[in-house]
Amino acid sequence: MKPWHKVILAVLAVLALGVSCAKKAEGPTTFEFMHTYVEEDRQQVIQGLIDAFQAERSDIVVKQVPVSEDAFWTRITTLMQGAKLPALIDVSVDQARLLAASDVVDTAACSRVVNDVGPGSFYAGATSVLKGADGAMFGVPLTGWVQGIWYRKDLFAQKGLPAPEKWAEILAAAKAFHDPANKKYGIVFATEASDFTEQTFSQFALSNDARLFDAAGAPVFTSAEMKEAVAFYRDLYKYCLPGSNGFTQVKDAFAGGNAAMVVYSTYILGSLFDQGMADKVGFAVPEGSRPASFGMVSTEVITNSVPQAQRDAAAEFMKFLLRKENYIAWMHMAPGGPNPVLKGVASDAAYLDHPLLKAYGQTAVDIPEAFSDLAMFGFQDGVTHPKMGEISAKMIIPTALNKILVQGANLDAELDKAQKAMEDVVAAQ
Amino acid sequence: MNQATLPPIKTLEARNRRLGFIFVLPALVLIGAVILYPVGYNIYLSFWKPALNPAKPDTLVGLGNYARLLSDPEFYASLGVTFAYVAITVAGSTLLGGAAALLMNRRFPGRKLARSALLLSYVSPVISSVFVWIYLFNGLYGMIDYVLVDALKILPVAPQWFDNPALSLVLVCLFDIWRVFPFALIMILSSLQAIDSSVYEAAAIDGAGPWTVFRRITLPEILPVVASVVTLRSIWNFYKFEDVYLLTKQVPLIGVYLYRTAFTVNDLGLASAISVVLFLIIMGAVVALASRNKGERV
Repeated sequence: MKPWHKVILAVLAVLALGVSCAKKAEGPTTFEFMHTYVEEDRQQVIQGLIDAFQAERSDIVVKQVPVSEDAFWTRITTLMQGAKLPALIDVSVDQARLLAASDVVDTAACSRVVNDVGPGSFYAGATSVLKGADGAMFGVPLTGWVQGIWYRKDLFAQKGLPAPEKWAEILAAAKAFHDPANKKYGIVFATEASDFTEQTFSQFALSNDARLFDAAGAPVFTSAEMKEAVAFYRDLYKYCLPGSNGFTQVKDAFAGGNAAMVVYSTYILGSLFDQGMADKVGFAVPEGSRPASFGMVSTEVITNSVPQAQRDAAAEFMKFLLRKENYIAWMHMAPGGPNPVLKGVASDAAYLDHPLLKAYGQTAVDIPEAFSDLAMFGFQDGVTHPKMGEISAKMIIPTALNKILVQGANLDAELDKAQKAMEDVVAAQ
Repeated sequence: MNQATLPPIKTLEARNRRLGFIFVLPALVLIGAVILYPVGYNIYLSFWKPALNPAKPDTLVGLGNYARLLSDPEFYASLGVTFAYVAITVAGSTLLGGAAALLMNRRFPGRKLARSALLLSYVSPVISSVFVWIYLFNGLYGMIDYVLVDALKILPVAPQWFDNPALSLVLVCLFDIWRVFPFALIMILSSLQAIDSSVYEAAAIDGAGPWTVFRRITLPEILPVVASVVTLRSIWNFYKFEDVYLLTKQVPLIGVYLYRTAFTVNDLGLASAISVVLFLIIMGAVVALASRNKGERV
């Protein structure tokens, strides 16, 4: 035999061995669950839940794939391109919208989970933001966070100021506490060109009834209500920690006692608890022409590019997670941050049996109520605008806000520019 | 010559050649898979508007992506900022590295320790260095603001370091110079140490001063290494992304522009067109430099 024949034979033998091994690997259905909980203690909690699920369902194996938040969306788009998306992905509503727009979501499986758990078991707002134009669910709500103004009750009491709810009250309080020479700021909120800024601002815009789209679905970013909201946001910025503020700057300034108010999600509760500030902090929802509860739902998406057996297995795992005892275990992974979207859990004794939740008392019980009437940009009349995910991904709104607030650009000119960019997104096929 | 013995020799040679080719084949397949295929696929993608979902059809746009790119003022602005960034950082890091190398080439107590300390910025992870800088310039508790505004009162109010486009460009350039100058230092120092000491001794006997020695002996000896450092650093910094992106959003380098197009806007076709154009620019520069060097050698 010639030497190169031997090489080819050897390669073929190795390949044949590989194929036979692959064929033998039939058995339980294995699916991947991709999420951003990279912290070791959170991974352990998730693994504990997976182990309990596998003990119940020996025919299913769940592999968790933690990916750091920075690389998460890049990873998703790359996997999507290669048709290699895992069966179950933990994403934000915005990301779920983008996945739905690319037709990679198994909406039937997501709808089945919600129906099997019982649509009435969820807060209405949590499920309606995940409903597509055809009424099918493009994700399953698992937990959610609520955003609002966290303020120093003790400092407000000293100055005899009311809770910062109405726009005028917020502005007056910010002015009263502003003392930049001593590194004290009236308020601190997000101003960098990122999702965080869009989320913070949208609460003020929605409290002024400033919508992003008209009834026909065309962008209306230059409406009188929107201009009022941006102008108010710009006025408020005069009393804010200057610069492009992101999560770090905003959280540090408030937890470090450098600001009297902060616009942040429930994820700040852990840091404030660690600083011993749990009893000094109050929570208010800003109110322009109406109060606007704002929050985000952590969404589990079952994808449609994996075999049917994996999708079914992912749906079973989701139903398992939404069972009360498992659900509470998930929630206690980072207490206070993720809040239950299932009714009744917030007041459940087992859920409240945690030092952090006990420290916040009634506030912890009341917060999830915001999910019953959730408002967010692009979600109007019970339907999510199909291009909202893309508008958020392109950072059109936060870029305009950053230019107006931090760079001192002209308000009207920037809103016109953003309007044009949104029109382009909506017009694109 | 015996004609009958020739064919077997040929067969043996041919067989050996074939066997040699088979042994090289894995390497060729690997190069094809990890270099040629991505480059080819990138060029192919630049003529398409690919759908994120592979089940959906891609749209052929021909030269559409190139037309969009070349008519986008943001692209030219990014290119301009990138050229400025490359010029400043390459000149800065090479000069600083060269100066440090000259210093480290002299004997002094604690030289080993000093050499190791100078390498620190280069060997520490980018992300930790970026965070150190962000905290240094933090408006609330940053050391720089504290010294300039609170302690020395040189500035009445703290500037928006990473928000002002001009200041941001200066800072990202300083960051890069500080971070990568040890590369130039190592390269230049090794070439300095290769210079024969007898040349310096002869120059001293001839009565040459320090400046003459540097200009006539040291500089010509290290110049080829400096040229390599400048070429390599220019290519690397032309594609710079991570530290600039992490430090500020106000310096739109071409790498940042490319990243946003590909992964924020998800316009993979346009992003591929950008990579092709950048590849042509860099290749053009490298070929021009190489042919110039060749000409000089002749």
